[in-house]
Amino acid sequence: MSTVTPRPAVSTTMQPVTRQVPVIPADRWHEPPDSLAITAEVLRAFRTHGWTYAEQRSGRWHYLILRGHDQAAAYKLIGPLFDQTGSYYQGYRIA
Amino acid sequence: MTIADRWPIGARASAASRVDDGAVPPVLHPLLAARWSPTTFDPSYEVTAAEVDLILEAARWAPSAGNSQPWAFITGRRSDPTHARLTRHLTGSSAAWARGASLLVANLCHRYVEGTDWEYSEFAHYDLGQAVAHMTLQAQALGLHARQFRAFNRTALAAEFAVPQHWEITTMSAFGRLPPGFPSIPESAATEPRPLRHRRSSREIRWVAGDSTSRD
Repeated sequence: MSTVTPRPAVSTTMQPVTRQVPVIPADRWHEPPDSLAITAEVLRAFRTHGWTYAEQRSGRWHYLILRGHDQAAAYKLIGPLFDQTGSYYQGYRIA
Repeated sequence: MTIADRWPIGARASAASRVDDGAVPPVLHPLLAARWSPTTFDPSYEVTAAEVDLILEAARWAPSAGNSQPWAFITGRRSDPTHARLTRHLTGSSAAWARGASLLVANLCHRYVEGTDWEYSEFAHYDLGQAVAHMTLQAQALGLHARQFRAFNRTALAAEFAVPQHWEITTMSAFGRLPPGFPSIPESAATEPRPLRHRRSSREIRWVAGDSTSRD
């Protein structure tokens, strides 16, 4: 018997909360939003849409630098934060 | 040292003896009072799949920061292939005793956001520990004992089960029944050379603001 338990489904007795995923139309991924909830899934989506990312730290702050589509975007990160689907970092675009 | 020194006073009373009017002091719940961490298990006892499911269910319903649930578990019942893969990476003292457990569980912590070194939750280890505590008590309710341990090759075990870098195999737990006739607490405390049930007093664990004396 081998079991790696997946994250359990949200109980039906709980109020479902949907994480604020970036609402980016398929043809607008070259325009990073001003603010977004960043998760591993979001980072994967950016990679899929032609971006690379790097991290930078300054003091206690984390920054995410997106590069692609002949431009760069920098986000200051707040987190980890939580919602009913797990944790995420809120990114605020600063450049 | 007497048994009474090692055994919480309240634990010797039945939880049923508790009354709400304050006449009788509250007592430690029997599941908590009887819990201890043996290194000897009944080599013939086989846990059922239903028992394993129930132990995992206890973890599933543990609280966590923001309901982040930063845990996962690899379970191996003795004589199944997963158990063999788990025991292969036991080290130190656990290699000698943990093989006899009916169930081995590797406790995984979701430490980082995948592809980054951002912590997934600053409470991830705390929450995993709490989930494992729930498992031990559920096991206790099933008549099983549990021992948590760290004596395993973390790197090799992670490779064995293809655990990605953003997860960590933090600890393992061994579950099983005591062998027939094996003395249970508190009887074993009387013969056990080590003070298994010794705990700091409740006075010692009450932190008094501004009092830094006698705390190393």
